[in-house]
Amino acid sequence: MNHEPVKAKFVTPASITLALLMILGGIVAVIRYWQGLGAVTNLSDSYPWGLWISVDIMCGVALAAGAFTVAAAVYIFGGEKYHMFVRPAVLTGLLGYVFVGVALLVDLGLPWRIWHPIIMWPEHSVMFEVAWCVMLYMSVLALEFAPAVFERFGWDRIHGLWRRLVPAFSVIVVAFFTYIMSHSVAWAVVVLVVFAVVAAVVPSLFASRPGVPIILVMVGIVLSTMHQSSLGSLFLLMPGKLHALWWTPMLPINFFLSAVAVGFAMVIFEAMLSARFFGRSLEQGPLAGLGRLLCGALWICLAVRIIDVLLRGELGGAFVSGKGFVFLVDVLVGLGLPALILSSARARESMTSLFTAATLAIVGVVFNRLSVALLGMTIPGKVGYFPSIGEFIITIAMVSAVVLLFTLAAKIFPVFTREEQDGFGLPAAAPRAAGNR
Amino acid sequence: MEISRRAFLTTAGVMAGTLLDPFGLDLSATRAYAERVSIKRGRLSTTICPYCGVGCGILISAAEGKIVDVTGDPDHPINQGSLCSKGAALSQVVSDRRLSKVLYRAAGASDWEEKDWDWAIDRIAEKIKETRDATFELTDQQDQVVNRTSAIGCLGSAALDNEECYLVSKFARALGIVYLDHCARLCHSSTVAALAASFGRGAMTNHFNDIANSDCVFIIGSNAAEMHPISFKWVTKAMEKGATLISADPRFTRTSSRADIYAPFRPGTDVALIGGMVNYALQNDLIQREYVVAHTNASFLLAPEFEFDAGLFGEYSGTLLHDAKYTKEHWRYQTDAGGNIKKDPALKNPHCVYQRLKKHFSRYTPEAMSAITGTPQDVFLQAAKAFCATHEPDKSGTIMYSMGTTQHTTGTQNIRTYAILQMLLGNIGVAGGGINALRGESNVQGSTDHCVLYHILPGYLKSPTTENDSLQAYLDKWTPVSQDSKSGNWWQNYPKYTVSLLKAFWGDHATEENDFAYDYLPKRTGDCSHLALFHEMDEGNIKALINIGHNPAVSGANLNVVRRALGKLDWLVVFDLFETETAAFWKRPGANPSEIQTEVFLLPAAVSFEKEGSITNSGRWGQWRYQAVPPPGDAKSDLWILTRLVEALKKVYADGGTFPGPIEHLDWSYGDEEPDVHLVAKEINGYFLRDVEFKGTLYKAGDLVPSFAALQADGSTNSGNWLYCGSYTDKGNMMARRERSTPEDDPIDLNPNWSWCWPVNRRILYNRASCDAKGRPWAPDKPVIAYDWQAGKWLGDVPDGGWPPLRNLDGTRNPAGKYSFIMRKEGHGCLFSPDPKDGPFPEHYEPLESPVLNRMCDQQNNPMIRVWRPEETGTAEKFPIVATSFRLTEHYQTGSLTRNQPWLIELMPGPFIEIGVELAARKGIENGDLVTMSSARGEVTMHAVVTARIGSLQLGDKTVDVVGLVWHFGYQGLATGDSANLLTPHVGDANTTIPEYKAFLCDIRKGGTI
Amino acid sequence: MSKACLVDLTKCIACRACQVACKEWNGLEAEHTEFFGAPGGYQNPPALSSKTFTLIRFVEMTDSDGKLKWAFARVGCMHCQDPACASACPVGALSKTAEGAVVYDDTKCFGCRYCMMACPFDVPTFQWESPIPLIRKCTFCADRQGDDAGTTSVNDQPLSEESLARHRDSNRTPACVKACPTGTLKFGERGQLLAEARERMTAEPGKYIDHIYGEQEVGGTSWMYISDVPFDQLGFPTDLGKRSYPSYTSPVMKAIPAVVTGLGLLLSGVYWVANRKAKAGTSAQEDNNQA
Ligand SMILES: Nc1nc2c(c(=O)[nH]1)N[C@H]1C(S)=C(S)[C@@H](COP(=O)(O)OP(=O)(O)OC[C@H]3O[C@@H](n4cnc5c(=O)[nH]c(N)nc54)[C@H](O)[C@@H]3O)O[C@H]1N2
Ligand SMILES: Nc1nc2c(c(=O)[nH]1)N[C@H]1C(S)=C(S)[C@@H](COP(=O)(O)OP(=O)(O)OC[C@H]3O[C@@H](n4cnc5c(=O)[nH]c(N)nc54)[C@H](O)[C@@H]3O)O[C@H]1N2
Ligand code: SF4
Ligand code: SF4
Ligand code: SF4
Ligand code: SF4
Ligand code: SF4
Ligand SMILES: [Mo]
Repeated sequence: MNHEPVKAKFVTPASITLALLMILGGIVAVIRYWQGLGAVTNLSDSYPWGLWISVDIMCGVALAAGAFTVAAAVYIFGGEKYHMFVRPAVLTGLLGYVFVGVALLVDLGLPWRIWHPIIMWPEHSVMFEVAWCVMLYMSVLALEFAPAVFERFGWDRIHGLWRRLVPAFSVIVVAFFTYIMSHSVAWAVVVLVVFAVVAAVVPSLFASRPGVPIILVMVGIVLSTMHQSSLGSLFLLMPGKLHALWWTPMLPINFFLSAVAVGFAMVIFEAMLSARFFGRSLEQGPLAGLGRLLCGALWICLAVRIIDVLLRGELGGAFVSGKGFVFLVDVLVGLGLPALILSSARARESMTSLFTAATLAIVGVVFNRLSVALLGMTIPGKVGYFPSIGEFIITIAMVSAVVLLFTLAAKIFPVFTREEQDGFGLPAAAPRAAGNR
Repeated sequence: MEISRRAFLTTAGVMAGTLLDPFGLDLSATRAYAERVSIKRGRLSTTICPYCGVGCGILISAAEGKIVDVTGDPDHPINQGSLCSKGAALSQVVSDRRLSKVLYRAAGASDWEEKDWDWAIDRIAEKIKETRDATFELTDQQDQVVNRTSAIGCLGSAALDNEECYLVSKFARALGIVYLDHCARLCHSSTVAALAASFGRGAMTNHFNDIANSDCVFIIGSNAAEMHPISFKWVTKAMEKGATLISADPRFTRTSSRADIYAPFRPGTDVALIGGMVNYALQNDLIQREYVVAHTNASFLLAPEFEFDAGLFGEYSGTLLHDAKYTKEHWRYQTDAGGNIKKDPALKNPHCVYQRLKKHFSRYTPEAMSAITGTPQDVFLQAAKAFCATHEPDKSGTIMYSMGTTQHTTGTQNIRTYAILQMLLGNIGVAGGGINALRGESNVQGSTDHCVLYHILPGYLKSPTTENDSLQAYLDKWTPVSQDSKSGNWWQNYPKYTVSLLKAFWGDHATEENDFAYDYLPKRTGDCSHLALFHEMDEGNIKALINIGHNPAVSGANLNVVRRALGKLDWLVVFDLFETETAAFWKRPGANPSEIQTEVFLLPAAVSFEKEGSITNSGRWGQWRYQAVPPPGDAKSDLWILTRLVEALKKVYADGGTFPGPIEHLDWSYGDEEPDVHLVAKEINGYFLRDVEFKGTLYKAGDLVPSFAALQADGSTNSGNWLYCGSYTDKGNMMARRERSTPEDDPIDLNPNWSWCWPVNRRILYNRASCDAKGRPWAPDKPVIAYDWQAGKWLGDVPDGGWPPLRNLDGTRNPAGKYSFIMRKEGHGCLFSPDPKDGPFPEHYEPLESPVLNRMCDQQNNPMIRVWRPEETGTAEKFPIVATSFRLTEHYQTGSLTRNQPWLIELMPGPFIEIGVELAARKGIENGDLVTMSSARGEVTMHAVVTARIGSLQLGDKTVDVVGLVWHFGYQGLATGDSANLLTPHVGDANTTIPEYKAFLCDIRKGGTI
Repeated sequence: MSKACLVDLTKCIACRACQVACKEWNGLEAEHTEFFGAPGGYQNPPALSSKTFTLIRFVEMTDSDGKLKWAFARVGCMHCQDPACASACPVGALSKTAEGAVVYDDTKCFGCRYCMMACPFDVPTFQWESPIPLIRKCTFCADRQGDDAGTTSVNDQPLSEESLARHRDSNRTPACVKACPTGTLKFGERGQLLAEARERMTAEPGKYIDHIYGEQEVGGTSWMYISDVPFDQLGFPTDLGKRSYPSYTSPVMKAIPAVVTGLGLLLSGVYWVANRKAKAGTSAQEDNNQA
């Protein structure tokens, strides 16, 4: 599939606004580094995790899931018609993860020690797993995006080298990951062997069909699965604090499933937005297809959530107290409503309702993560928490940065596929001439 | 993983040295922590806690002149390594808030100037001379020699070491000061009066560890858990062994929280409550009869004319405003021809003390008691039953009390009531028994022993009054004579102690020819106590005040008077650690410094662990403290300051002046360069001044006297305080001994080899009463002493008089035997005591300010008090609520120390008023609201603690509300707040003028500003 | 041998020596407090913080017989047998020592605060005001547990044998326990303390409520409590269960290798199935697939 940079001006009112927001965030960050987290946040010993962890990080990771879901759909499940979404999704993912990292640098108390998990290996810590997994997956994303860079600059030799080394790298990464998570050489060897075999056998079986070595995609999916679910596992340690409407041994699965769903939602959302902003045409077929995938994922999420709550006998809790209300919003508005909308094929084909549903699903996941990390928590008899202006500013700056960098990257690198005339929606040429919007 | 300190340090060292962190950031918190650990156990010295009278041992680790760690001394027998919050925070006494420079405030100035010591000492000496010489009286109007100045006041301190207290006493007397007092007046003066009147000595009878031997602990008028926290180590031990704990307090306190029985009652009604219990014991015959007959004056026959009628004990004249007086004529025993007291051991004679006592207290029925106190009868009966159960010979019960009891117009009689109950139950002198007067400040026992008090000289010798115009007259007046050969009558040694004291004061100049310089002692007239002092100051009669370690601008009663009066002084000298409210009285809110003409000298003093010396805890243990670190900046020990001042005074008087003798000849030689506290301690103990043979040993001139039995009346010995004779002998500094005993060799935990205890290292006073007449302990499983007939000596504690028991084992009289209460000339504990001014038996009188009429008798108030400012007495109509003032664990006294310590301020950041739920509801007050409390004297605003722990009491058909407020605060220091004493009345106990801090009337309303 | 501490709340007089002694030993600053930081005005600070590792909670109430009670409860790290905080920490900064303490290595921590979230008792606290913040919590005075360098003489006098032994014991005892005057806090071997707790409960039937808090909570803790007042009324969480918290996450962590392997095989399988079909259909496009 052919890609090309979007042709548009770099400096636009929108990009200036975004840049200003980023600078504002930078100022807050300086205060934060100078005077400590207490100076700019409303975090406290009662609420050690706030907006940044729940939105910038928890949601950031979830919303970056598009990269692996689309890659899976395209490369593993053979959903070739979604190919055009891969690079934007990978770029979003990469930027998303980078900014999860940046957010971490702001949120961590001692950010200059962010590398500590690299050398300190407490295999019992879910957070440790997340940290490694995210790190490794970022490298996978970087490698997945690398061809765009090679193409842009015409670095064919490096590209070749890349193609040769990536499979080995992928296998080692996953084996190594297994090792530090289990401290078991045996398991590491098993994984090494399995993945090496896959890496060697699969391409030879099916030739080098995709542009990306399939093993890299697989490892990306494995790592994503691991850490998307692990973000949920983090909360397994809080049965006393997290309300039973959310706390379940199924938390990792719930997180994984909702990440898959929101991955599709993000791709839809992004594609439609970039079409609008870059004046690109939209392909209804693949989008509607994604809508279907999203719909299915949402239904599964919803079913798993409800059945789980039912089986644990906690459903009653949904109809009492504020927490119950939050839960209802979480499942009904965040999952049920978009699922319902998308269940209709007509709706999937209507750009408005598709967009609405995708947005709902995204907001739903954000709300879900907020519920788990904040709203669903009971902190006995202590002070409350509402994010400070500073926290909001940083969060907004992060989102701005992702958006800004995405648009910049799309203008520099071949991210989007070459415009073809069979698109629908806006005529290809008109908005391009108009610059942006 | 083994975390050894070394490993820990290595990690920390790596951190601190190579620094794992980039950007030059160092984790200073962590590093400081690691550093601390490495030196925490550096050079260790012991000290005794400077706060309460428990006398806990503290271990200070210091390096390079700085404290690095403070922790409880694990060797110390009382606290055994533990501490309370104040003791644990001790290191914070050292801070940049401490005074480190001499400060001077000129008349009318609005700020301090820094000065040096030479300037200040010289100027103060000149000021003293100026005022003294201008006001010195050689004789009074009746032409009696008085040799005094009534225009200079001196207030000493219970925070000073014994040696310093002794020197303050000596210094003030040398100047001719009669207005000499200190916080002991405000604290336990009534204790001394009541206990001496009952048993002969004015001190806590037992000691802290002994509480563990008790079967029933009755805490009343004390909040021991908060104010003597380590006493609860021993209360808890007693409870672990099955003892019952009773707490009676108007407020449900941290002490009450641990009690098996809690009895609420109205402030100021202790006589009624305990009188009720005395009646309960007598009516139900729950007394230890054999003990009562053997050791108390129950069997003594009283003069038939002795009467009690309409609330008065016989002939009475005067009024509360002026010269109230009993003739005391009939307050006496019947004697036979030989002068011996008549007795009826069967206790049947209607004139015997027992029968008169029974009759007197028969009015204190549970109904009457409850109508006065508000204590529900069932609770009372529960408490009475539990406590009176200790009348069994082998059971003991102890009473622990403190300010709730003493600070009343009936303070002395409150304690007398306790004493009577304890004697009836046979609880005096026994292990786990006694009246444990919990002395307040760390050295208030010592400061009292050294008598920084106008009415007594070191060792409880009376300070001469104008009638005692010669040494002989003085000795004749105060040396008791007993006709009864079985009475030890220890005070017959009065002359020896007096002469030895005069020799210690004026050395070689005190000779037989000049009555040992007896003339040099100022002769007093009337009341020169704290209340009188500030009253006279306010009247303009006192021109100058030397205030050493006291903060009356917060602690005195009715601060409106105190703070105003200070402004009428020409000059004021303050020795303190901090800039107290007293030193900075001219800065107080609302005052205009330019209108205040008082010159103020604020001298920076050293705190306990910055100097060396001894202090005496409530249990009479004289314990040595070591210097751990030097004082900050220019700060100096009180010993040093006094010495420099005396030197300067000697210099200014060398050129003449009024009556210079006592200063010129004052024996003040404690070292050539710097004063040596050991020399003071030795002088207190006493030296032989000539070669003397005592008990077969020849002592050389210059040797230390081994015991007060060796003191002489002929000038051959000196002793600054006979009670402390034996504390520093040729065996060494007995107070510095540190040998803790083991349960095996010391089953009742007397710890005879730890420090030194007055008198003669006797740990339990009146311990002869712990045995029957044959010397056999009432409680064989916890004997204090027991007579070994074979060896012919007492075993166990040092007996209270070494004579054999009164009777041989076969019941015959032992001619060498003596009675057990050797400090009373009767030789017996006094159920009836003629000593108190306000009656030989206690009677319930209402506090000066009371919401009700006295239901017990016709006298509303104690007929023997003096009401100084009648116009300032509040009425129940205007001020319907009963108020009391109280303390907190976390703060100490006027807060000079604790309100400058962040850790303690953190725990208790400000003052508050405890208000019952119902009253609060009526006034619309909620927990945490600001409330304003007013009395006839002033107003304060504080936060309200609305609580079920205090509330309304049902007095018969009347409901009365009780509130309490914290009194630790003032306008200086890191944490400030209104002083409770802006409200308290200027009135005191009939015997000792201890102010009535604990019961007055007030009103409260919501609102106010702080 | 695992050390532990038994807290007998029936003995506490709320003198708060423990609170101050902890500050003294650990060099902790005072907090700025005000009255009514906590209900009733007496308790302060209201909660644990980076400057306060332990505190006494004051609870005024009436018991089941309508009797007024004022109960005091020491709050602080429970030193869980299987600590959630340690299992949470991604850098292994928190760990349970063989002696029983859950200790913190400030050279490892990077400040993610997951330990704070994970702790069932809300114990770890953070230096919010510091640019180089650390997690702070009770250390069980692990730094006192080691060798006994130091105390050999006092007042420049050598100590006797018994005295040395007393000092050694005292140096090894946690600062708060050592300070406690009433024996409310008692330090010892966990097993022995448990036995003693049971003994105290049988010796005085009816005095204590029939529960040793910390014996089983979250798998057992090194600090254990007995009380005459129900624990929920003292503000202790009573619904934590007996299961150790890390056991909630350990299965997930243990499953990782299997899941990774399984996923690898699964994805290969799906790929194989999907691409067998795809290959049939779309092989023409192959060369265009430059990704
Ligand atoms: N933490 C701390 N400890 C101290 C001190 C300190 O300031 N702070 N001060 C020391 C000194 S100098 C002293 S004297 C002692 C004082 O120690 P305490 O006497 O124990 O202390 P207070 O709080 O003054 O009073 C004790 C109790 O008396 C109660 N009370 C009030 N009115 C009455 C009454 O009419 N009768 C009876 N029986 N009780 C009543 C009060 O409610 C209060 O709880 O503490 C010493 N220890
Ligand atoms: N309302 C009310 N008022 C009361 C009481 C009450 O219960 N209610 N209680 C009364 C009682 S019992 C007492 S004892 C008094 C106490 O009243 P104060 O004696 O006035 O109280 P302290 O705060 O102990 O004052 C001692 C001063 O000595 C200083 N100091 C400490 N150590 C040294 C030292 O080594 N050298 C020198 N030079 N100074 C030193 C301290 O800084 C402090 O300023 O208050 C009484 N006032
Ligand atoms: S204040 Fe009293 S109980 Fe507390 S440590 Fe000092 S002496 Fe001991
Ligand atoms: S109480 Fe909390 S901080 Fe302490 S060991 Fe347990 S989980 Fe960790
Ligand atoms: S804050 Fe520090 S100690 Fe706590 S979990 Fe994170 S890295 Fe570990
Ligand atoms: S064990 Fe040590 S660190 Fe923990 S509360 Fe006690 S004194 Fe503080
Ligand atoms: S030191 Fe002991 S008695 Fe005092 S508050 Fe702490 S636990 Fe309670
Ligand atoms: Mo006192």
